[in-house]
Amino acid sequence: MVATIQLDAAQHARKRVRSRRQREFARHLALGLIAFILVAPFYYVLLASLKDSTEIFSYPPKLLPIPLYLGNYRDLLWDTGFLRWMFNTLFVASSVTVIKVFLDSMAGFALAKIDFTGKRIVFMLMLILLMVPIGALIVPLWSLVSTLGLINTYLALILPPLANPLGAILMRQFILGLPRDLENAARLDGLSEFAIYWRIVLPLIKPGLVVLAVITFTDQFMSFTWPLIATTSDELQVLTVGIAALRAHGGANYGLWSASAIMSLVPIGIFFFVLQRQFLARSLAGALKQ
Amino acid sequence: MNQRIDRQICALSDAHQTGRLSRRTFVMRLLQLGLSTAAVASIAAEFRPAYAAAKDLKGHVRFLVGPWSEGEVDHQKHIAQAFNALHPDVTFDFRLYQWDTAAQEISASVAGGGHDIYMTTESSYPDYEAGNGFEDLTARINDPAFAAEKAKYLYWERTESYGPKLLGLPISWHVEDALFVNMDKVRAAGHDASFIDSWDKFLDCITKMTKEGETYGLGIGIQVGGYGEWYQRLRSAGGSYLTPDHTKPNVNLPDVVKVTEQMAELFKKGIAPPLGTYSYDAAPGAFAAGKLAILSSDLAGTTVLPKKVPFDWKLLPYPPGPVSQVNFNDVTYYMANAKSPDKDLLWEVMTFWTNGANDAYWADNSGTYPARTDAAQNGYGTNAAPQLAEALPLFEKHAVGLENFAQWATVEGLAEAEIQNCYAGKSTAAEAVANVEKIVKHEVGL
Amino acid sequence: MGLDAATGAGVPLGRLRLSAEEHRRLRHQARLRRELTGWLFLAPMFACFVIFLVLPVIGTVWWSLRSGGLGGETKFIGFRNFTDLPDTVGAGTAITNTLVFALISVPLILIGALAIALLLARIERGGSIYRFLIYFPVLVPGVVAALIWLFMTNVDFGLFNEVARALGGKPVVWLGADHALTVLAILDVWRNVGYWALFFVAAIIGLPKELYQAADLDGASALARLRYLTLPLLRRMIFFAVVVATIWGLQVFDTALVLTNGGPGTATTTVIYRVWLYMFGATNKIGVASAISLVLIIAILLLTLVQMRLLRGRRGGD
Repeated sequence: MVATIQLDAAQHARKRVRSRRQREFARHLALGLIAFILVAPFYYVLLASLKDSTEIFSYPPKLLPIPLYLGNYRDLLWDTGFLRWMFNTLFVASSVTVIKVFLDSMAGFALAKIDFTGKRIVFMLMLILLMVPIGALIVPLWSLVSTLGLINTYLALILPPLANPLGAILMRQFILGLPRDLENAARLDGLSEFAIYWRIVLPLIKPGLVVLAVITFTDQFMSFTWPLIATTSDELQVLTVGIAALRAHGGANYGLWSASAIMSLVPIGIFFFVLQRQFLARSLAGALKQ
Repeated sequence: MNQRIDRQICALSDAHQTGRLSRRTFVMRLLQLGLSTAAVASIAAEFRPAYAAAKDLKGHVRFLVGPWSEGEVDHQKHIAQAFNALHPDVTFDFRLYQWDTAAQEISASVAGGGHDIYMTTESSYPDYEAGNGFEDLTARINDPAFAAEKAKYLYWERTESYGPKLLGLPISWHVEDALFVNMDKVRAAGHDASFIDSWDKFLDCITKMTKEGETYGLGIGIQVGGYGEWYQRLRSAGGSYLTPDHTKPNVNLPDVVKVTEQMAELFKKGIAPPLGTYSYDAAPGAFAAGKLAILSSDLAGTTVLPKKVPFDWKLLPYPPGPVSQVNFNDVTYYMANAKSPDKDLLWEVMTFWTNGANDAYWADNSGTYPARTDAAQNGYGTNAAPQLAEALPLFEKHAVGLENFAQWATVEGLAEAEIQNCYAGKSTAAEAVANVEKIVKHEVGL
Repeated sequence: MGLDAATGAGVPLGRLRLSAEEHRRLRHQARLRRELTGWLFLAPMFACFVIFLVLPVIGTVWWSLRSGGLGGETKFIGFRNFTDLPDTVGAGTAITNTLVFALISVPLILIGALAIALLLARIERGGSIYRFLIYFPVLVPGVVAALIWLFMTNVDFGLFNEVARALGGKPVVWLGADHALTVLAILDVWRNVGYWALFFVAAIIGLPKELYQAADLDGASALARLRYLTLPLLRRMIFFAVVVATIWGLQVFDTALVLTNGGPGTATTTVIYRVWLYMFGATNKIGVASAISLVLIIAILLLTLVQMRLLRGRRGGD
């Protein structure tokens, strides 16, 4: 009797391992298919960017890039303001990120750890206006920036995003999670509030800071509506606006558009590859808001 | 340099140095002799009378212009170089707007003082006239010293009809919805160029030219926002957005519904490709590849068509409607921002940009007709497709412009979108026309 | 200083005592310092918040009650902009388009994201590669995504029709009046499914493992596990995702602008697109633009409040 049970147990174990492997295989298959569908357009565009536009235009079209044509990239980099746009975007995105991380962490620190009048009202106000989209505010925002004489300056691109309360709220959540004793001890030691913020709180919430930085940088990289109307000269065009403007030239230069799409994805792709886990945390940040 | 030119240069420089010829005219005449800008620059530098030094201009001028052709910025820079031969201390930068967001980009820039000189279309002229964003150039244009030059521009009657203020200098006269016709296919269908003389002949021809899966007879709804396309038909049916006294809409007429229905039918019958099949940018390529037997789009498409289109093609106007044959066109202007500080500099720049030589050069390379009487002498026609010159008399014969009320451009944009909904089958012709009437009432405030 | 005064004024050494008055003064000063510090820390961010968010919201309300233009004067006209809205040709279409868009894209995004998350959370090896690939479209700016799709939806040589032809079907006019809005919605799904997939992965990883082990021992099937365990546990997350994804969906603009220009006709004209048309398109329409913006803002605020209220209620219940 005992032997039979043992055999059954072994068989059972083998079956379990096998079905586990089957399930794993099925998962890989499904995920692979989904990933393929999601990423296929990029490959297609990459191919198009390596073909001469007039060739793309030929009916019926040829699909394989033989011979490899680098003219689109050359035209993009030399004849358009692409490099300038890239610089502007990176400059603005980095500036906003650095400034916002500090401003928001300070604000979050105040909201979380310091008791002052109006704290609740300020926080409620931020929560309520959290979801108001910048797209619905372009009218008065434009008028305001124009009155301040800031249209077509870097400041016009850097200042408005600082108003987004998501960062402050996020930082508040993170800082609330820190134990009270740490700062109480620091206060007893006579550290000023700023020193507490700088030397104790900031290092402890570093993961939160990185999440905020990633969110901010990505959002700035992709923003379009506001830069479209806030900048009027060629020198200040950002990547998204510049690429949209490439459509303006008569005659559909699909090769050039494709090259611009691929080139614009290079920096963010590298950024993402290096900081993958923090990007995962970006999605997670939404969960933390609760 | 041959002797004749040499003598002419001497004569000109004498006249200039004794003050009989202004510096600008001096350089202009030198350019007209056919010399390169470099040569002109060096000659001009040599003959520099003392008094001219005081008049040298300095500054930075920012242009906001339309993307007429792929080389638009290059063309602008070419003109800027010629200007720098006269005034080396003036710098320029050029930014292109996109056609579909042009109105928005221009008004955002004007209100914010973003640029100095704008390339604008007549469609917004009544709107600009009613506002005060653009500099009033009336005094300068009507100055007796400018009279000789003013006489060389065309279309003042239209410009002056919009009101007391003259806001711009005309650059070109543009047909917004011309027919690019593949004559080989027309002949294969048993017709000739006279097929546009009546709607019935026209319909017969395009029906015959349509081969399912291969060729569409007529591509409409392709021009950006359908600009001017249905408006042409509205006018050809005796309608207009407003009655001549601007007191009520003049849209909802039986003939208007009829012409709208005629256009919508083309989609239902498969003669016109469904909206969205060909975008404005891609359509000339499709025409060249034979996918569209006729393409309705603006003349700028002539710069995009490869020079060696493998068939005989012509530009022709639309066939007549129930009341008349109508061809919509508009003038393009350079206007100055009222907020810019150095108006004298801007005036010099604008008059230079629109003089015979430069206007001819620009229009020649942008697929449109120049707004100057002296364009041909100045080289217009060298690069432009010959079909343009051939078609000009036909277009001029039935030319009609916009209506003079401030909301015309907005109404036009909204109306064409409404009509395109009808083409897409979302509403009947009667409903669409009724909606256009509502749009007119709402926008004008009747 | 207060202390010194106390010790100096004849209090015997070794005993530090403050009178009630000095105590109150000290507390008062400490409180003042605290208030000041709090506001100092908050001030820079709050200043930006007020100037660039609160003021514009007030501005929108103010302008929605007026008529006039950007550069010129405006007149007060009360609520007329709002009452005129239903009659404005195209206002109804913009709202319908936006709602239909959200109705197509949001469910697809979330169901897709959940499915992906369930697969990803359980995968043993190679997860990070899939994560990278699936999340990549999220990083593409809307404008670039629209350009890519413009190319793919081209009737004659776009990828979609190539595939259609390969499968023996007829080429479709993807950006025609019938399909443009759907294509726009699918574009949005493509861009956003990765974001929410990772969101749900994080949430699923956070679920208590013991419950699943118990279910396994009981021999529950995968489907049963999903229905009775995963979904109920993720209820709050799912609800949050629905609200946020909808709010984002309501704001669609840049892809509509680049892909189809709001067309053909008005097939893809969305609410923000209309705001933008009115804002700069004509001299006299800033009031209307603001009125439409305000309606959108209020709709979003209502959604946010609903979410906050329902979540708070559930928090007690869970």
